[in-house]
Amino acid sequence: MTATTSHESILIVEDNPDDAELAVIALGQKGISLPYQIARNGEEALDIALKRKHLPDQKPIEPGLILLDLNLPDKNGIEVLKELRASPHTRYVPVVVLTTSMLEEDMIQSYENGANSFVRKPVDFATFLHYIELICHYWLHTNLRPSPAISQR
Amino acid sequence: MLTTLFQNITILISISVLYHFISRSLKGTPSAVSVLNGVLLGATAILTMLTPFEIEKGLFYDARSVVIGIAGFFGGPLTAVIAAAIALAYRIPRGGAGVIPGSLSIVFPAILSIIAWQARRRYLANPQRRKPHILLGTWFLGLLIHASVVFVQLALPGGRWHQVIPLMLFPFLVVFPIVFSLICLLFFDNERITKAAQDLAESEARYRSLFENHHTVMLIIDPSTGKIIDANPAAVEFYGWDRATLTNMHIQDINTLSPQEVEAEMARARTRDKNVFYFKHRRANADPIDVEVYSGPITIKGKELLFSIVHDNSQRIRAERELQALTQKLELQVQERTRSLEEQTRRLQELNKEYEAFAYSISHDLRAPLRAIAGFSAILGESLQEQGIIKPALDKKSTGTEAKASPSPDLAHILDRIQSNVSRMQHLIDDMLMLSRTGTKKMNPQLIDLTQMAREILSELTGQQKDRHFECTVQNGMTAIADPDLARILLVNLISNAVKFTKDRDIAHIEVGAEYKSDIPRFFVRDNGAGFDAAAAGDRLFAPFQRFHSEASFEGTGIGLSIVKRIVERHNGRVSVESMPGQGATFYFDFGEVKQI
Repeated sequence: MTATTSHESILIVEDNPDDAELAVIALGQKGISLPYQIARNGEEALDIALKRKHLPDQKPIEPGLILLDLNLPDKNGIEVLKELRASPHTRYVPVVVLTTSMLEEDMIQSYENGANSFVRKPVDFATFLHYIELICHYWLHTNLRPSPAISQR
Repeated sequence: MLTTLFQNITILISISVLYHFISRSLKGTPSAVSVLNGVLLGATAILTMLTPFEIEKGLFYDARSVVIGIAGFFGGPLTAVIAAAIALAYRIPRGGAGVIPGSLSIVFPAILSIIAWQARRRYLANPQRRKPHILLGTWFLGLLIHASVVFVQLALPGGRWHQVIPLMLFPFLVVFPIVFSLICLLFFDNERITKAAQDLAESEARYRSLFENHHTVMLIIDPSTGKIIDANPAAVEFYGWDRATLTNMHIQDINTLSPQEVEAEMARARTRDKNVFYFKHRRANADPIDVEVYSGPITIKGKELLFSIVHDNSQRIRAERELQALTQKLELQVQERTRSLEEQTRRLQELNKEYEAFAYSISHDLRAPLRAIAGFSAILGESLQEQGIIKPALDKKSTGTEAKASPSPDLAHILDRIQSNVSRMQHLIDDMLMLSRTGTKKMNPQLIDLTQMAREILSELTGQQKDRHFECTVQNGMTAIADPDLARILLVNLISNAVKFTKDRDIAHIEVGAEYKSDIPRFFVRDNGAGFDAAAAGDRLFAPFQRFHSEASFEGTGIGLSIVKRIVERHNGRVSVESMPGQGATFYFDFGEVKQI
């Protein structure tokens, strides 16, 4: 945990509470101790990531990694992705699309709209643990990106 | 002597006129003509006998032989016989020394002229006849007739012929033949005139009949005014006006076009610019009718008229209209059918899309709860381990074989069963998705190396089972034209079946090969595994979710062969199987007829 700054967090965008809980457990089991936030839909995800609304029960934090599901109740994950990439605030925040989608079209759309990675959710929990470890290790610790201050110029 | 000779000639000329007057007046009854002419000429013969000429004192001769000769030559046997009989009836009672030669000079000319008449008839019947020399021919006949008259003078009693014959030579052999010939010319000429008049009358009648009796409607019109000059009975019947009314009408009264238009059309007919016209004609007691008019100029008595033939065209037009209506109806039906086909195709495409979306959504939605079960049961297992309730490092075999009655159920075993079922369900979902995909995937046929593909798949599938012993053979040089993705899925399914069902064999034999018995190469995957009763399985073998072994002995979803069948069918190929229980199985397949890439 060398490059992380104290105010960073992980944003989990997931409408299925079971999947969200499993992701949180996986993070815990793999010793990723960053604070996390869960958005249940696209609007909530954008509220948090773009700080559009101050949420009383959560302190304002910078997302350092966004795990994005594509099938959301209010708006498509691709739409969320577009808005994230359009904002200077989140332009360089790594977004890993974590989905059950088997459609190649979804994969292409994700990459074309600036997703950093596309991962299919495995059924097997051990495999899922392994994926979460790899994702966090790479995007939080290995990969470097410009600071938000620079990206906002 | 000359005076009486001319008298005789004059009589004959006037007789010629009378003769032909009779012929013309009584045409149509030839025997009456013959009889009447016979009587006429007989009377003439008597007339000539009343005006004889004196050759020398006391010796009278006359022109009866000329008259009788004419009667025979022009009138024929009947006329000649009647004329001769009348002449004889007059002569014989007169008696005298000359009665025998006098009678014979009636009979001989009659016989000779009848023979000549017959010769003439034969001659006229010959179509290849040459033009006769009338003057010479008739002169020769006259000569012959009068030579016979001279000859019969031998019958004069007392050898008087010595004196008579030399005196007869000039009038009878020189004058009479020429006279006869000239009178014949006159008769020929009259005959020709009579014949020409007859022909003309016949021809007139024939053409008149063409107009009067033909069932075609005909009109004769004056193109300068449009007045109807004549109309035939067919026209009277067709238009419903009588002839007198029709011939007082103008064609503008009949044609439904405006008078100006009719005049323009008449001008075109007159100049032969156009000869077929399509009009509507009014009728006396019926609606206007469609007609087809053939019209062209003719000249009668120096005046140019239009001769028009009018055909009732209404039936043809009605038939044409009906045909047109029918064609239109047919076209509409075809359009309707096409639309409905397009609609069906569109509907099918929609259904196909819906089906794919449905299959996708099922697999997607079923996967989420499955993931939760798998995840939470895994976490539960770890948590139980941490709390020391179950032992780590599960030994699956001990859980199955040790049938110890335990107060609490074997939690580790239960967790293991949950995990195993989750995994099975996951495979089912994946296979269902695969099955739906093989049915809807876009085909991209190309030349593929089946040998290479089979080798790759074999090494991958057998490589996962290091504890087993495989002997695999793949025939060299197998190629096919097929969709490469689908072909791979097909081979994976068949080869993984072979790997699966040979697990109880010490040495698993798997063979991939081809047969070239027909134009279409037939490929096969053969194993020495458990096999099954192929005959009993029948078509069920390739239906989804069919199993022929217990799940305990061979795990699987029962969808694999359905996928194989669907892939083969998408290539228009066929799949079949040969197998007996315990004796392995051979799956055959082909990719249908060779397609052009």
